[in-house]
Amino acid sequence: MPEIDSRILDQFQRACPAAYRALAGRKFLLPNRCQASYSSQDVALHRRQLVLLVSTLSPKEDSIPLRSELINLVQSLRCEFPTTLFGPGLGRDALAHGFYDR
Amino acid sequence: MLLRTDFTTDDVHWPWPGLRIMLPKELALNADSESCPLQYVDVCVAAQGEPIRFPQELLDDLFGGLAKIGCTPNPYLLRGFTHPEAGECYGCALSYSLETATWANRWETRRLQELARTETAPDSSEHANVESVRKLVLNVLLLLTHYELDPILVEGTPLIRRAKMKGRHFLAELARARFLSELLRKKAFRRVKPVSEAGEEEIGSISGESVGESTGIKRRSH
Repeated sequence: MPEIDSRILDQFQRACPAAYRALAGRKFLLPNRCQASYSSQDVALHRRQLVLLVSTLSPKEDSIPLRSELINLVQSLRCEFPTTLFGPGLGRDALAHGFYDR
Repeated sequence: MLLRTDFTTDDVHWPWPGLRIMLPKELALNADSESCPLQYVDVCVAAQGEPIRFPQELLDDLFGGLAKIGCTPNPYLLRGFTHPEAGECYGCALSYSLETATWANRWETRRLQELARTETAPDSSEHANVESVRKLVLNVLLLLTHYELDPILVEGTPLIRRAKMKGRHFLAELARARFLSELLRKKAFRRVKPVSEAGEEEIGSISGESVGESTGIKRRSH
């Protein structure tokens, strides 16, 4: 993904408050026992801002990776970013039960 | 598991046009790995002819705000996208090293087994585990389709705190996380004994977050 000037990212929240809230306006509360099993939600929210800004400022229309992230962003935004968690226990058993390996 | 059958794309009812599946670190994507290299996977569908575009108020705020801080936005986003020939399914997973594994495939009637193994478009960013991830996503979509009327999916995510400002800091809305296993946990299953041992059927229930054995077990809803 192309680089974005960090100053633009820093100013994004203040300059585009509605867009910022639309992208980063929701976090999920996990049970304490599960918190260590998942990555930081801040990283994922930051990534949304990056995808939007890169698409706006340095678009590469033919890039499937960026297009894939961008269209995922647009489609998920329509329904307020539905998020489901693949549970840690389910994760441990998934391979054994052929959840994705068969 | 679910992909062993003859399910096709027509059997999948997308609960939302796009969703994110957070993956636990304990998820081994293949027999050789002990942890998951991916943080999450996003998947969405764009129907044939459907205009894909951000809401106008978001674009107004974005373009106006960026202009104020001296940036010149490209009108690329204003045009949006359409897929005139066929629907398209996009997937994108982010690794812990911030690399992406992405794919795009036509979403038209075909067996899910076949779709899972399809080559991705030439410009897609391949990842060692992309086929496993795609199978996982298709299985999750089948699971969500099966439980599409379940209150957990219909009612959505319970809100714990609304978004608010604390001084100059924005506090995001807080909602309770939803686990896929919440759907599975509510099911009971019936263990069918071989004909030679025919007699009383054994009733069990799935506890914790295990998906249960698949051989010789028929699931039954409450």
